[in-house]
Amino acid sequence: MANLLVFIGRKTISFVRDVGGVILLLSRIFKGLPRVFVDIHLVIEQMLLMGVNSLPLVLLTSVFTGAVSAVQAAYQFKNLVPMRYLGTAVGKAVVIELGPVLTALVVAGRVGASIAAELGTMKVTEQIDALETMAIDPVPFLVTPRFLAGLIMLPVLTILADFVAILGGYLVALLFLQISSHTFLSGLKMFFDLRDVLAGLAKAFAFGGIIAIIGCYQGFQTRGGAKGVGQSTTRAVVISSVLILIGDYLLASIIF
Amino acid sequence: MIRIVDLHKKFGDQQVLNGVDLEVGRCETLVIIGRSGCGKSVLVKHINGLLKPDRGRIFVDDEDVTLLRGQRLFHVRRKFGMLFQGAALLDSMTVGENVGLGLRHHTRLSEKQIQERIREKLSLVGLSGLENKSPAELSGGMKKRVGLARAMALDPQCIILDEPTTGLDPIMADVINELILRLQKDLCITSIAVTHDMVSANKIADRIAMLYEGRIIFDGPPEEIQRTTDPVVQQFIRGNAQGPVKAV
Repeated sequence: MANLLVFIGRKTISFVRDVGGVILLLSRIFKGLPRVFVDIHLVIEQMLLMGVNSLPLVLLTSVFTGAVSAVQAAYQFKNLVPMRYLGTAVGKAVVIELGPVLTALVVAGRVGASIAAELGTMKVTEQIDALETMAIDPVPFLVTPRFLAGLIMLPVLTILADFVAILGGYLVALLFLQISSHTFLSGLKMFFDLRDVLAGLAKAFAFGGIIAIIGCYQGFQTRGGAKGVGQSTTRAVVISSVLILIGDYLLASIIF
Repeated sequence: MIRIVDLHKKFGDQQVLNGVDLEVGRCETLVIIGRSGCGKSVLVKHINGLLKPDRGRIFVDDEDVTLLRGQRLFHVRRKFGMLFQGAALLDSMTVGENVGLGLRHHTRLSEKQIQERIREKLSLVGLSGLENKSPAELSGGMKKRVGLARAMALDPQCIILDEPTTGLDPIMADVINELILRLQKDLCITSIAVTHDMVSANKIADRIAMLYEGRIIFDGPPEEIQRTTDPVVQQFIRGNAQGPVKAV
C-alpha cells in the first residue's frame, strides 16, 4: 500500500513538473518571438523539414484513408442510405476528423520523434550548453522556429491531406463501387460547409503546436546517452499522440 | 577577475564539490588538475553559469553569477569562451558556421568580415580551409581545435578549456599549448584549463590547483607543485598507482 502511494506520489509530482515545464517553455517561446524576424531562415528551414519532407508520407496515408472511408461508408449505407450521400460521408469524415487527426499522428511519429531525437542528442553532447556559453538562448534558436513551423505546416499538410483523401475516396467509388462521378461529387457538394474545413484546420493548428512543443520539451529533458535519447523520442511520440486524441475530443466539444 | 567562494554541489547522493575556494586573476592561466570524475568539469561549468551551485558564490568582475538570470547572465557569458571536453560542435552546421555562430548572433559585422574572422581563427588552430567541412568529417582532435576556434571567435576576456589537449597528438597538443600561452601574453586573455596532461599543465600554467574529494588541496605555481610533500598531490603528478589514492 505504501509503495502504491509512493508510486502515485512520484507520478503526480512528475506530471505536475512536466506540465509546469511545458508552460514555462511556451512562455519562453513567446518571449523570444521578436528574435524570429532576425532568424527567419531557421523557421523556413524547419518548415521545409516538417512540411515538405513529410508530404510523401502524409499523402500516402491520406489517399488510403479516403479510400477506406469510401469502402466502409458504402458497406454501411448498403440497403439503408442512398449512395448519393457517399460523397457527403467521405467529405465530412475526412475534413472534420480523419484529415487533421491522421495527419497529426503521422507527423507526430515522423517529426515529433525527430525533434526529440535531434534536441536530445544536442543536449547529451553538450551542444545546447555550447549555445548557452556563446550567450545564445537555445529556446529562440532551437524551439521557437520548430514551434512556429509546426503551427504553420500542420494546417498546410492537412489541406493537402484532405484533398488527396477525398480524391482517394472518389477514385474507389468510381472504380470499385460502381458509383458515378456525378453522384459522388453532388453528394460531396450537397452538405459542404466551409466551417467544417475551418474547424479541421483549427484542430491541425493546435496539433502542430502540440507536436513541436512536446518534441522540444522531451529533447531538452534528455539525460544520459543514446538510451536517454531513445526514451525521450518514444515519450515524445506517445505523449503527443495521446494529447492529439484528447485535444481532438476537447476541440470537437468546443467547436461543434 | 573570478572569485569562487565556498562552492558546494551535489548530484543525487554524491557530493561533488564540497567547499571550493579559488581565485583567478586577469591575464592569468590557471590549470585545474584532479582525477577523472572528481568534479573539475562541474567546477568550471559553474563559472559561466551553466550549473547552479547548491551553496556558495562565484564572482566575475565582482558580479555574483549565481544570482544572475536571463539577459544579465548572457551579458556575463559574453566575457567567456568555452572549449568543451567533446568539442560540442553543432553537427547541423559546417565548421565555418560553428565558428561564426556567435559573431552572427552578437555582432553587426558584414558577412565578408565574419568570413575573414572565421578564416583567421581557424588558421590560429591550424585548420585553414576547412570552413565548409561538416563536424562529422573531422577527427576528434580536429573537432577540439574547431571548438577552440569557436571559443576564441568573439575575443572573450576569459577562455575555459575542458581537456584542451586530450585526443591530440603530442605535436598538436604543443601547438595548442603555445596558442594558449600566446593568448595570455599577447591578448591578456585569462585561461582556466582542466586537464590530466601534466606536460601541458606545467607548460601553460601560472598556477595549478588540484581538486580532490570536492576541495582544492593544492593551489600554487608549477614549480611549487613539484616540491609539495602532500602525498595525494605527489601520487597524482607522478602518476603512481601506489599511494593514498586508491585506483578503484
